[in-house]
Amino acid sequence: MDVATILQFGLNGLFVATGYALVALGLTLIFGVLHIADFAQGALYVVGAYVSFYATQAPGLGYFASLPVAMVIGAGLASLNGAAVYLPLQRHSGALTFIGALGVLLILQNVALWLFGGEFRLVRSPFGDGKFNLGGVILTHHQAFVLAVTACLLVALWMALRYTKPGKGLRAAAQEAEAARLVGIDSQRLGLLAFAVAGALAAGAGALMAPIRAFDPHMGAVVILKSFAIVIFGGMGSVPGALVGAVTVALAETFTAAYVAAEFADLVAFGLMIAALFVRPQGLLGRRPA
Amino acid sequence: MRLKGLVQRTGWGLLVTFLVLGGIGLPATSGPAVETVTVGFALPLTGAAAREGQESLEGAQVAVRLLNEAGGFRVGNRTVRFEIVSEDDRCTPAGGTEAANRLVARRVRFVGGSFCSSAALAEQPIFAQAGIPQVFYAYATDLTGVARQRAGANLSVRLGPQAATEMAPLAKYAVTVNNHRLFFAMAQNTDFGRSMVAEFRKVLERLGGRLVAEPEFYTFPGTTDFRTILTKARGSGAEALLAIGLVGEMIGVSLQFRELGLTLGFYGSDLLEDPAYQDAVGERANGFFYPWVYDDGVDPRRFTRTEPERMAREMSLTFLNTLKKRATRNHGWGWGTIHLLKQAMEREGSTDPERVMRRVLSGERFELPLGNYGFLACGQADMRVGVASYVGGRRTLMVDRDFAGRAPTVLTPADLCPR
Repeated sequence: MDVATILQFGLNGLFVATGYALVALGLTLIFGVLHIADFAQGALYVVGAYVSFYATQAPGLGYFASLPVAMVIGAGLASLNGAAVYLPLQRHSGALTFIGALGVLLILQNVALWLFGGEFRLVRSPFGDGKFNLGGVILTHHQAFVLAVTACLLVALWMALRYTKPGKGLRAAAQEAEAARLVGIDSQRLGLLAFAVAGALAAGAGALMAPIRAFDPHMGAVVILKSFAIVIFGGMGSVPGALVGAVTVALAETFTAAYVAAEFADLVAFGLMIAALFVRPQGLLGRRPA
Repeated sequence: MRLKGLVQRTGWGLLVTFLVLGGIGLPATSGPAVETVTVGFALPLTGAAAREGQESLEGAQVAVRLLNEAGGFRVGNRTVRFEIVSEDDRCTPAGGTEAANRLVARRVRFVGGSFCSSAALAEQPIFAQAGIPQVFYAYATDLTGVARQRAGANLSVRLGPQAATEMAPLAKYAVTVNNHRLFFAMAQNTDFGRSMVAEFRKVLERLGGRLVAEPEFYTFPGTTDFRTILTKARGSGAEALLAIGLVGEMIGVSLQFRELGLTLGFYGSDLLEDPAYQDAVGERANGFFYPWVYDDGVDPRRFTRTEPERMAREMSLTFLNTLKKRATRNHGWGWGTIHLLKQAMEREGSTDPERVMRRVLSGERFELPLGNYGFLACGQADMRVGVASYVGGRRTLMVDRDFAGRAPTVLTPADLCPR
């Protein structure tokens, strides 16, 4: 195999990682603060894709405007879901939230099926079919746009977590919920913030990928499953862990498909998850429980 | 007392005579004038193949609505109407098992579906055990082969093509018309995907071609990024790509094929003619080849049709006039199931499931949306498909249904019903 082919594999893997990373980041934030495995984030990925689809058809809007619109709607729905379903369930038992999350995912999927139908949709990219050819390595203009937007979102999130008061609160609650509560951090309010951020990221990811991957109401279930494996591999509640996990899993999948066989690619994500559970139960960058 | 006893005996005697006579002779004239036959549909109504399942069901619903609005149809001296019930098999073996058990419990007389091979394989023994004939649409070879024999599903039939029906003419077209002999194959990792690749490979090798590497089977459902497999195809030395998947996957494969600038020939299954595929991929599918199964007479063609396909035209016009949309092959599954049963009932003069299906399997030809054809003893539709391509963004029929049977012959009834 020539160098261009190997680089193309690497670029393919990096691109796959962007979709995983945005959803996995939201999941890990929610889990870190509230210890809730929010499977419904998969449905918000689908919502983002549909918002983009309809926004690009609406007069006066367009694909670029659809991105913030999708993120705002995703944030709103995720917060609503958190306040109406998860937080009340969590008061009774943490385990109930697990069942609740699966239930919400199924309900949202079927509502989407009823609202939008089962047809596959694809959003027209504003970049058309334009692409960069870097010595035989192909990167489409839309892929470049997705990589750039993802990088901006990650930097913005990192800065918000590091330098803003709510961001510091989220990190504190994720690291030590009890101690955070003792110093007056309202974990419920921060939890709703985590839901909003996660919902925005998931819907944003859906909108970003909508011109590249045909989607239907069931697309989210697959996305969320893989993202969860990444979160467990990277360390539940760990933001850097989610990022490292997304890149590792995506590259491992890609190179397995490239050098072994495509049918084994998906085994890698779950294989890594199981290996991580054996070797480092807290995940690659997760903290061991006190 | 004696008189009273005589009256009583006479009364009982008359009653018994009335009942006996009634039981023997009268129902022919006084039995139910209208009989309702319930047809169950086991289809993927949610999940990765929900659209295909919903369209199949819609085809059946429209066909039944029209028949019932016309007052039903005559079977012997009775009027028969259809009633439809449906269950979601989610395109999975587990979903298929649940759907089949629910339809058995609902006492349906016939079953349509499934569309998905893995679900249909799970459903087949359940319906066979319950004595319910199944008209399925999935392509996996075993459904009219080993699996059917094991299940004892002697009354089940496949309404349309199986993997060999589709892949034999496509492979022949690739080699003999396009001169593509070296192929890279990719398919979803299911009974459907594996059967299609195996049948394509069989004919390709018979005609002197070959696969340049072992086929790549990707996870279904869930794979959306095909760039890595396509990058492998690009550097494989192949002249053409065979890609098998459902509509969503085929959209992804086609777009990413163009993105990566691949210049190989492109061959797929008949799902490439799906309207959703055409909407999403548009002119980027120009020059892609696939088997066509449904011909409503609208698309341009490069041959002269010898036999008009009246049922396809009728379904197409019905959909355009009543639902303001173009009918698809998927609608043909449901519509075809209803009309196959109707025609067999009318000819047999009975609604008895066993008699109806014996008639279906008698070799007689039926007028259906996917052509006019009969059924082989193994339950396989003895039908053929042509090869189509996209030319200037339009679906264009390149060769007719008789292509696989012309020299060199690559498909015979014996290939469809291997012993």
